[in-house]
Amino acid sequence: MEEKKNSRRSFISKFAPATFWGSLAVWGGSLLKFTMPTLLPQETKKIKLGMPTDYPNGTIKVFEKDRVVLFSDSEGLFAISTICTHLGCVTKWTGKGFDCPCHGSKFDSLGEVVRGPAPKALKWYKIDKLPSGQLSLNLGESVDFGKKEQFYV
Amino acid sequence: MSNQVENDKKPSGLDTFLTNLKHLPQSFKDAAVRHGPPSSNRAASQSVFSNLFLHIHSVRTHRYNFKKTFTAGLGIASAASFIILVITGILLMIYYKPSLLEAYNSIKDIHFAVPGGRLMRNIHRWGAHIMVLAVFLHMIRVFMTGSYRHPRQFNWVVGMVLFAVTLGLSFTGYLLPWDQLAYWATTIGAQIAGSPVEVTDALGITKILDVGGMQMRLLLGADVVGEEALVRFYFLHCILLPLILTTFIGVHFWRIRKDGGMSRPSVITEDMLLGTPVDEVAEMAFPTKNKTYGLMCLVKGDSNNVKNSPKQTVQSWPNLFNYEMAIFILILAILIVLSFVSDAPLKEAANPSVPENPAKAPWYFLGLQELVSYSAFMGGVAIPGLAVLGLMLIPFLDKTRNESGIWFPDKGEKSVFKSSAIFSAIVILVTLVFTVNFGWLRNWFPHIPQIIIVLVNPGTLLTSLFVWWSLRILNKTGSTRLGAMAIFTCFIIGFVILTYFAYQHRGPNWNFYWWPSLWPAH
Repeated sequence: MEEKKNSRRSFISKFAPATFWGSLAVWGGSLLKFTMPTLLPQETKKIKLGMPTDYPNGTIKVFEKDRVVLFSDSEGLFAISTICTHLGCVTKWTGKGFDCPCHGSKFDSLGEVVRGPAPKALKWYKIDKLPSGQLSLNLGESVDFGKKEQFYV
Repeated sequence: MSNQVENDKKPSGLDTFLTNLKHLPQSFKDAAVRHGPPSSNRAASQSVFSNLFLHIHSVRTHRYNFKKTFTAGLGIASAASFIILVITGILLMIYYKPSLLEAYNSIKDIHFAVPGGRLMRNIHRWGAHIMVLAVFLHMIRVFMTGSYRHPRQFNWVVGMVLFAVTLGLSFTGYLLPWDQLAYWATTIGAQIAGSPVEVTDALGITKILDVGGMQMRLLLGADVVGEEALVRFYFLHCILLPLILTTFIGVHFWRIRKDGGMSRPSVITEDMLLGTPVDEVAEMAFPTKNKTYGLMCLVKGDSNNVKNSPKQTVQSWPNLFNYEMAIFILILAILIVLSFVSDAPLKEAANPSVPENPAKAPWYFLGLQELVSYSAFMGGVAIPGLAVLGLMLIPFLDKTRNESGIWFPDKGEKSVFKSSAIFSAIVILVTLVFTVNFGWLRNWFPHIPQIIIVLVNPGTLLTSLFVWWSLRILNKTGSTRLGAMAIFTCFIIGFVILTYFAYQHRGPNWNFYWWPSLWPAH
């Protein structure tokens, strides 16, 4: 008996293993998806700062636990994260800038990279004014570099 | 009538039972081990191939495999330290609790309260060091003796997988004590996994395709090192990676035999075999002309090699097993001595607001940490990734069929090795001295775009110099083996010097110090 090129048998013999590998691939993909976390446990933290008048021109306040430094100058209030943009170490506010202990990155007083391997400037956090007039530092949201906020009482 | 007589002769059920009981130990042993004691060659052979655990060995082993100056027993040393790590690791799991609140205290309990706990933890810690070292030296041995060549190319690739998984096991184990060292080394490691963001940022596509962030989140289960990361690392360290490693060790061993045993030169004279075990019977059992070796010691290869091989073999039982057990107890002894001399470190409990200063990775990652201090993506992802890929591809790019199983079979290899070692040492030292004294691009051009630093930094500079050197050797000698020798030597020397430099000369803030005693108080 002559076997036809596109017989039912040859179709099934190709289709059956393809089904197997196909379903395996779909299953494998869903397994990979399973390992990708969707519920990120990090909570958005807000720090109550009090009234704008508590931060006169020239104030520098270090929140060591929250890894942020708050500044006040003539142009307004701004908060700079102390987490190094290189590999996530915590930099230290030296009074003039930020020094990272891990790989020697140095940042100036605005958080711009001066030296070392850090790829970009330190993150600036958002400061909100609540309806009560109080200020709140939002560690879940960052603002553009150099954006200082004026708060009038 | 006759029935009754037979009944009288038959022992009673109780007698049979008692006789069986009396013979229980012997019959149990006969059932478990079907052959006699390995007193004859035949029984010794049966001992090997009828035992699940021994039959990964061939029945007879070539005498060249016992040459200590050839293998130095490094492969067995790697496997032995892995076995010791599995045993001590399982025991440590009894007391270790993978949660933020308990992890640090449970390690403290193991170290200070559990009987023998400190020894167990120290052996596990030192075992990890020794295993990484043994695997690394084993890789050097296999490369230098040209043992990755046909037909062993694939086993070299399997070996590279084992190398990578070994490093992965070390890295994931580092977090579990949840002390300062663990926390900050893991933070750095996870950020390295996230460092492709440097490139996607420069291209401006981070919002669409954040590869780095995905990798980091996959590893940590979060954006920061916390409970999720600890559970993931625990799972990787205790289940997934050991499973992968065990599987690939099985493949690695299996392939040694399937690829025709360990590599060896085509002609082996008697004085090359000095100091190896001898089997007087082999000469008579395997006459060269008739080629009547048994199926059990069938070896692949050129006929000349095969013809002479059987005569130069010895029984695996007991020669090979004695050799393996000797290495095993040697490793165990070294680990126990080291464990009594020096304790595994345990710093203060992890404190996410104050980094350890300096936060140094374990020694085998220090070379990378030095590169990372120039550029996170290049030093942590691109260069090591290229190095592992390049190593894996060596047997497919260098297909020369020179002698295998000999260190430096000709003058060419030795001189390329020497010149490459000198070249890479000088280049690395000059780069380090320059960088320490004058800094890098950002010090001179503060507003330089990051992408230029990612592309041009001491790490990429060294890598391209090494590639250039190896291409030059390749061109000059016309030999892919010598080209491979050049780049491999540069890689080894680079690893050694950078590791030493980061270990000895980097202090707080990753600044240069001649000696740790010069570190400022902080």
